[in-house]
Amino acid sequence: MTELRICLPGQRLCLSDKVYTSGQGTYERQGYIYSQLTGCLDIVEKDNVKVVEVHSSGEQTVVPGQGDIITAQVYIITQQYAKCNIKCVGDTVLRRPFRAVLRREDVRATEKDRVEIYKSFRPGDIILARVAERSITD
Amino acid sequence: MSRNRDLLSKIGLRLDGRRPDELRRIRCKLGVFTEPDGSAYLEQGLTKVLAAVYGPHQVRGGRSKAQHDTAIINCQFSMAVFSTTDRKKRPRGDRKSTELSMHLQQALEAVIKSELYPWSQIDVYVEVLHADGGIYTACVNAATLALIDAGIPLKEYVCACTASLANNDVPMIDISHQEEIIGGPTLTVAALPMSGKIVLMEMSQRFHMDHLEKVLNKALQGCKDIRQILDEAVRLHVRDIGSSTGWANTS
Repeated sequence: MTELRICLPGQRLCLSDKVYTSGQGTYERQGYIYSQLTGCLDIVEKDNVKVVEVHSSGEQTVVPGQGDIITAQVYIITQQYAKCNIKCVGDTVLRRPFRAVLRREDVRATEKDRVEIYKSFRPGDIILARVAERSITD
Repeated sequence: MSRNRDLLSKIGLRLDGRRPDELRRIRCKLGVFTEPDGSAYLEQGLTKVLAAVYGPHQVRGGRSKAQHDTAIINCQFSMAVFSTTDRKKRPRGDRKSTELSMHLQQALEAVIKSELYPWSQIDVYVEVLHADGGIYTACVNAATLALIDAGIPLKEYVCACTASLANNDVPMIDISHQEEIIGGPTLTVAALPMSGKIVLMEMSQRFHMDHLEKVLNKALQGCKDIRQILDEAVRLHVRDIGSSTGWANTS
């Protein structure tokens, strides 16, 4: 194993230029790349661009964002929507579930008006879904 | 003014034997609790503070509070009833605690990269176990450690330090409770030590402008010193945790 370089928040890592770009766990300020997490430095090379990343040793803190693929469990179904608890975002298991609503018209892409929630889901089902835009009413 | 003279002895030592630009001993520990996402314990002299961080999680209570572009940072400051010489009636909710909660929130909002967590909330709870001067500074420093332990992205550390003026001439840092009582004005500064930005500055009394610069500079130097101490503690903690888990989840 190569030598591990520990980074701390606010630590300046390198210049940000065409070769080095800021990736996960880092941010850019005034032409430099800084760490924003405590963890190990990792440089990923991807088509001649080196992405500087910092991976924290603890659990990841993620929140589901628009477009993410999530794993959720259905717990209530009604005529109009199904309520779910989001368990995972991508590959990351969440420490605490997030609540979500799956509306009737979002169940499938075709024949949207003929969807019947109870024929698609039952409480307890584990589903894979993509996060649409966030609604304030859920 | 005659009382001020006692703050610094003839040989230039303070009441507790420190030099004017010397901090009190800082001892800290990260990850003291298992239930919160991050926690820290910090001792600055006799001031003892516990901090716990929960989140980011879904906004609780009124959903209308949720922000579409940033996370809400919710701070709660409380003092144990046994933390001061006379037993406190209420651990939180009084005017002073509310003010300190708001100041703490202001300092933390400046460093947390909250734009990464839209529609969510981060809770920071701070509990003072023993108050011996510089409560706010100890709280800010402990909260920083707890946020680091929680793995919440920060622009950099936020450190706070107090400073005062002895004999109307010599600036001194990290004011203890004893010095707060007999001494003159206390300047509290919360700063981002690496970029030198000040996020909060508070003065307890009226104070001559001429002295402000040197007192402020001392306080900022104090913030930098504190950062170094915290930095060392975090590094040791990461090394400990990392090596015992075989650097799991890292690369």
